[in-house]
Amino acid sequence: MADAAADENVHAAVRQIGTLHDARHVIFDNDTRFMFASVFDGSWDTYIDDFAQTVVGARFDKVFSHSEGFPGVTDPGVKDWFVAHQEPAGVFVSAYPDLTVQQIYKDHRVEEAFEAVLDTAEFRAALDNPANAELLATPAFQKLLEEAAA
Amino acid sequence: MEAQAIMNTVASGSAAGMGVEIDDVQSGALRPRPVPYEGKFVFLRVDDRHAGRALLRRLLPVTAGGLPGVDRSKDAWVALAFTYQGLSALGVPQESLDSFPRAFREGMAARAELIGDVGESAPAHWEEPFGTGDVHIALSALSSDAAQLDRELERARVAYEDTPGVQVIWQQEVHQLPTGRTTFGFRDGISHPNIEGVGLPGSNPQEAPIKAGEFILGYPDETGNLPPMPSPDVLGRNGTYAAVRKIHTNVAAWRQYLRANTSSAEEEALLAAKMVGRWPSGAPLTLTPEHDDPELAADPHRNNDFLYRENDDRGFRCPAGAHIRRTNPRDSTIIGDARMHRLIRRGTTYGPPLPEGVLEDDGADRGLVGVFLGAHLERQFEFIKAEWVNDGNFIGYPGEKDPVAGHHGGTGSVTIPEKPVRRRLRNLPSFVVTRGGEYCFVPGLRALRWLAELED
Repeated sequence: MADAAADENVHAAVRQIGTLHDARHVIFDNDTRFMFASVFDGSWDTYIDDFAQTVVGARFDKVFSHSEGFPGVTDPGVKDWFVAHQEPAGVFVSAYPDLTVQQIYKDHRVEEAFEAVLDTAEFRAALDNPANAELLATPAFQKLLEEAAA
Repeated sequence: MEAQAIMNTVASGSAAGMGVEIDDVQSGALRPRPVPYEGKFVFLRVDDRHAGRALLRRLLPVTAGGLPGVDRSKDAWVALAFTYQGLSALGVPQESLDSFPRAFREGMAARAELIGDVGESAPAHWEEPFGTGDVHIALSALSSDAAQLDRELERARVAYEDTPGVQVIWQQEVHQLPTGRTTFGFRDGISHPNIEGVGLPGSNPQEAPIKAGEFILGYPDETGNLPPMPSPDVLGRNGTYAAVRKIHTNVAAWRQYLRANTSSAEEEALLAAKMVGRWPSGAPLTLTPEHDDPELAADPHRNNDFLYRENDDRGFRCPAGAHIRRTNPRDSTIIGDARMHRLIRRGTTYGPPLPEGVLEDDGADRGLVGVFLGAHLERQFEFIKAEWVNDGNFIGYPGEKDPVAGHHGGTGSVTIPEKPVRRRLRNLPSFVVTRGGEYCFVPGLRALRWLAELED
């Protein structure tokens, strides 16, 4: 599993799932216990069925198959099994509690497009064009220029 | 001069101070580089531990401790530093060797990926004997005067040449160029940290004193704890660590890049200054953003007297990514705490200058031997390389490297804040190549004696 991040298929599946920020499998207590911890948007069981259809689902099945009593990821009782084995976190903090994976993807695309626009001579010329003075003076556009300057 | 003498007295006499045993600390550990300077690095291999110890006994009287005398024009010193293999070759007990921090035990070559020595800078391409394990003792001598350097070196030379079982395996002369500047054409050696309790003023009057334990073993550091110290105590106390690096500078590539990305001599000078953070004279962009100011640069009370946050937080004067701002962010808005990552830097130039105005490479080897000193290799030198030089996430430019010191491989970028739209230069080549480096331990004078007197 150590190579999961580098695995193209897994990466594609994570994109396909679209709500999973990160996930880890940890074996501890002298290899007798196992923890799966993950951060995802929305509630856990909403997407579990969809999840099972992906490459990640198959891996999940493989990893959990070593846990006592695991019924298999396609078993109708799997959600109940997960819920029965859940443990809430005592403390959970996030640097971006209001951003979903989808928003982060979107923000990243917008940033890349924004930077590309900043690199064009046409944009610089447009800023110098008096015809655009009104737009430039709007508080909304000023915010954009704040970001453009550094 | 009087003020200097008084500070020494206060520092060593103050009960509240750290009581740093400054005279036991090698001069090569804390002293700022003299100006002008002449110097030499000599690497030695110890083939027989008894010979190595005999050499140390002969070098001890030559090795300088403490601060510069009142007459700075007579500043000169010989310093001794040891790699892990060197301590091992001298027969330091394994238990003691094991007590050194991991980075030092592994050596710089083993840490190459971490500190960004990859591609053409990778250890596979290093100049011998760097990274081979053969460098045992790094002897260095620096002086403001060539004749005095020769006298000091002669005493050392007699010692190491008359000791069978010890071989000179590498030598490098360094000296200040006639311009008083680096091969890239910038004055350096301006900034020196303000270390608590040693009686040596820092160069920035606005810097609060840094705990002595950031630079010398045996005293509390910024965390409030003692830095991890090798055992026995006598070996560690008053010692420090040095990352020694030989860096080739591709001056022609630097000039070509500046020329290709500007349309006038003024623009060229400004772009270069934006990448470095100072003008060629050494005047900082933060204090003089529009043009060079040699008078300001020449004033030691003003040329490093600045912070960033109040007047230049976003980097419109000195870009956050500029070399001097990355490697010493002062009070800039960054991830983490800059005071945990201070270093003493001592750059010395080797090779001939590329004549003014020449844009074609003449094939000559020129660059610098840099010595980076601190009590914590991992938290200081290695952190600075990994987080500040080879990445820009800490200043909000993920992946962007130090424009001057980073290894870009033709794909680097540099962001220069500007209104209304930032400038972002791309396809940066590397302007420096690592020729080699070693992690060394710089023991105090008592520790040197302990090493010299090891038995069996």
